[in-house]
Amino acid sequence: MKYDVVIAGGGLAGLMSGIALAREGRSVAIISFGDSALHFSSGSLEMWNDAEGALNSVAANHPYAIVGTQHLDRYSRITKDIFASAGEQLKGEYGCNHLRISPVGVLKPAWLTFDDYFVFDPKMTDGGGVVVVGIDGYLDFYPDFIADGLRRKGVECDVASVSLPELERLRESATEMRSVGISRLLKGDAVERLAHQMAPLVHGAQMVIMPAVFGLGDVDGRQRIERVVGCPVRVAPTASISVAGVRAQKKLVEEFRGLGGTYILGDKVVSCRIEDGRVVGVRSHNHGDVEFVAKDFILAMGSFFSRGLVATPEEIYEPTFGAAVVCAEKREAWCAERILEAQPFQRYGVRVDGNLRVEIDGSVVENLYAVGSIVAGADAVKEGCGAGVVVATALMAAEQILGKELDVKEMN
Amino acid sequence: MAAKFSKEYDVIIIGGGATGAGTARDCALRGLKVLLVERKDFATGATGRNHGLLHSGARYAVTDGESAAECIAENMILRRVARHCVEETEGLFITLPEDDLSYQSLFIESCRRAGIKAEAIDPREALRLEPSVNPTLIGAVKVPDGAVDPFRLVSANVLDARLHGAEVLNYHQVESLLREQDRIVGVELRNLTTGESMQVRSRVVVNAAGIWGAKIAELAGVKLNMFPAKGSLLVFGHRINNVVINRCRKPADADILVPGDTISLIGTTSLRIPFEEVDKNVVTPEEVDVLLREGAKLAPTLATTRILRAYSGVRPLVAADNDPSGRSISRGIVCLDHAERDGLEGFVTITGGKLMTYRLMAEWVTDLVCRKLGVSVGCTTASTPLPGSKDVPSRAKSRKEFISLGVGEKGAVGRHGDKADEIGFANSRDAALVCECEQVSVAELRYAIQSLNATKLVDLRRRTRLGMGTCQGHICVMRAAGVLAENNVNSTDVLDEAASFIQERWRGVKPVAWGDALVEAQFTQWFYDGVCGLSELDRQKTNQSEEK
Repeated sequence: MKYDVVIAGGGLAGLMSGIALAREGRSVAIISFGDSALHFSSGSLEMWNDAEGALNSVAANHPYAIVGTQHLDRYSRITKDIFASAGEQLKGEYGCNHLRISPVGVLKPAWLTFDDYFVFDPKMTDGGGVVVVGIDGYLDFYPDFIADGLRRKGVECDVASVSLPELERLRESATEMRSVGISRLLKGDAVERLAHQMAPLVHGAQMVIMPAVFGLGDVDGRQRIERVVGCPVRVAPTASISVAGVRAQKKLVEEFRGLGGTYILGDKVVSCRIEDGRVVGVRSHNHGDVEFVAKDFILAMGSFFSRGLVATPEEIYEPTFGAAVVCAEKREAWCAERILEAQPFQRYGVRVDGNLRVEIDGSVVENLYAVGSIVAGADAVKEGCGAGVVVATALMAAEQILGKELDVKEMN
Repeated sequence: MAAKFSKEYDVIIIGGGATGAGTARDCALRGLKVLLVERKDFATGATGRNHGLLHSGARYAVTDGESAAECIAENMILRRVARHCVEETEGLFITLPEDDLSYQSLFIESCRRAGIKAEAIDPREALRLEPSVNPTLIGAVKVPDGAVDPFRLVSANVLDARLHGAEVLNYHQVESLLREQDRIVGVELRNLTTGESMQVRSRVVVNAAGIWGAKIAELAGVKLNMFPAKGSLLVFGHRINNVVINRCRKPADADILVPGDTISLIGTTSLRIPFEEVDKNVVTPEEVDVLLREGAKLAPTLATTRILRAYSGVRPLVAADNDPSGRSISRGIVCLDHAERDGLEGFVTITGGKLMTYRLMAEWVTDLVCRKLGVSVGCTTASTPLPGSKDVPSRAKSRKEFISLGVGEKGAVGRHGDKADEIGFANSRDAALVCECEQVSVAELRYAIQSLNATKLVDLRRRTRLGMGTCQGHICVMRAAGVLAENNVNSTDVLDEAASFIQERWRGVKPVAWGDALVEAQFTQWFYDGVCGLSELDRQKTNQSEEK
């Protein structure tokens, strides 16, 4: 099988590279095991925790320094454009963070947020009450915590709860009463009944906040509830699986396929063949001896969480290509005492050169680029740069392969 | 200024481990007015930090026949009175090619002398009995080992003490002992939640504080020669074995593998530590390596099984009184009347021993307390079942009925026995599962909050197994926080507790943070800090209080 580019890993990083390349007419194959960090999305993408969100100086070994912070504004616009083409509007822009709300009511800086999610607006403090509506028996959404968080910001807030007989069936299995299960049931008549149950509870509110469970049932469920209750309905993130993230992942895959890309799901790159300092082909778990041959390759397998990196008691390594890794040698140094403080392992990843190319057996591989959270040097949690690093490295790698800068389409 | 507490008790028991809880129960059953105090939560010391092994006594048969005989007697008693805390798994003592097979006959003979049924079986039969056992074994002896849930056991003892009139205060620390001439007459307590102090009087004070008992003795001005011995263990991600596996040799490191509910445990190491370190509970990389290496000899599959966490406990070893050097240390029960020993009335210490003999220790010290108080009621704890083991749960009289129960109800019946009858599953909200790994429902949490002195998230873990399964609380801690918030606990306090809960789990994960454990750790930090912003909340609160 021959392509211009083969991408190992099909989460946000692989898809952004893949779509950018496919838009330019390249033949691209993405081989994805199926995991994506988007599945656990907060509903927002983050560029940098700093309230302004604009980056002036970062450490020299930070992925943003390799990418060049002067490109971030452009990549930000391209990201919005790619999501919009896929049918997912994002609000926000580079250089002016807004505040999203977390599942436990903490207001956190965000760069881009899905259009249907709640974002804080200081004007809300004198606009009347907000009602946070939970679903009876659904334990991954915390109306009390969210309401308390808004009250801390001076917003008048109430909580209410609705129930749906359809959801009773979910309870028969231990793991079904989750956002995804609920989302699938929110269609047709069920949405109407939910809306009519809510209407008297939220009468006179300036806004209603519901759990982010829309998108896998009827696409217009939230809008239909808005029409019945007569005020804006926004969603807030749930714990466990993120419906909006699942929805966005699906749309991006569809967008990639629509551009002629080959998305191979449920498979995994397991080995590579290198000749004269270049990768000539990779093999996958399901395709056995059939080699994927390409001019360029992208490593987008993610960090430990998606098994892009593997830790044993003795070492940390990159299992697919055997790429050089930046990490502390002894396992005692990998972790910090407190789980909520900066964890050294979060910055571990593969070493890249100034063009995002990885190193194998002591020398740089000319046509293998690393993108996304597998690139060493960023602490996605403490710096709030997870998605920003993913898209910046993904788009830069695409530009390296194309040999030119990507166009920015200005949206209306 | 300490507020005066007018109440007077017959006996105040210091320490909410198995021994203290068992003593509170025994005293209450004999009609005494009892106060049980614990500075943390119940079962947070050595009680909750061991194998959860229902020893047959075989392990001690060769080296300490007396302890072995006590163990087997208590083993048989607990099977009756604490049925809902015990799993009758049986145990194997295996001989590996590197071990001396001739030890086996000495072992069997010693077991018989102690009254332990020990039967040599064919290695092939041992493999059939326990398929995970090392297939290279050259000998096997079957003994009546089992598994016991120490958290459930303590909870049932505390509950029964309360049902018989005892008062119970967890999160209350003993600041000093009240002394009048040569007599201890009570304690000064500090409520660690509110910071308030109070004085409580009693005719006798029982020191049942485990390794911390040395400190309590110091408060009374008497010296206890105790030696902290740390033992570390590893918890594996699923239940590898159904039969307890031991090595048939002189007791050594990492030679017991015990199944418990959904997991298996390998342990322990044994390391003398200085007194300053008894609260640290650090498991070193070297200990982890020993546990893994030796554990894999018992069951080779351990080498490739996911490790959930590591933890350690501190055994309260006591030197015999005539040996101040501490060389002759006993693992046996030490029951001291300080009136006889030190000329101090109203103060007794019960220590040494082990989880297995907690009931016997309670009996001995309660006998002593009763003698001092002139009470002649005898001990009934060997025959009176604990709450939960008194009856068959009414909603699961038959196997068929049990099978038809919802998952949350099954979990509740399994953990609380007949007491599950008090857990109402009135509507679907009650049945909603909080902890999917361990099948803990909203109703069970509510029961623990209302009836089992659980006020914090970490208490709920010990009462119900919340967050003890594969996900180590990732999925359930926020759900539980939500339930606790509904029970009128302030939401920012609950979130602080969620952060403490995650930190407490992390402490156990960190020593084994590679493979899947590191994968989960990355996710934990990413979700609770990145997505939820728990550390941000901490900072916002600090800023707020600074502004004030």
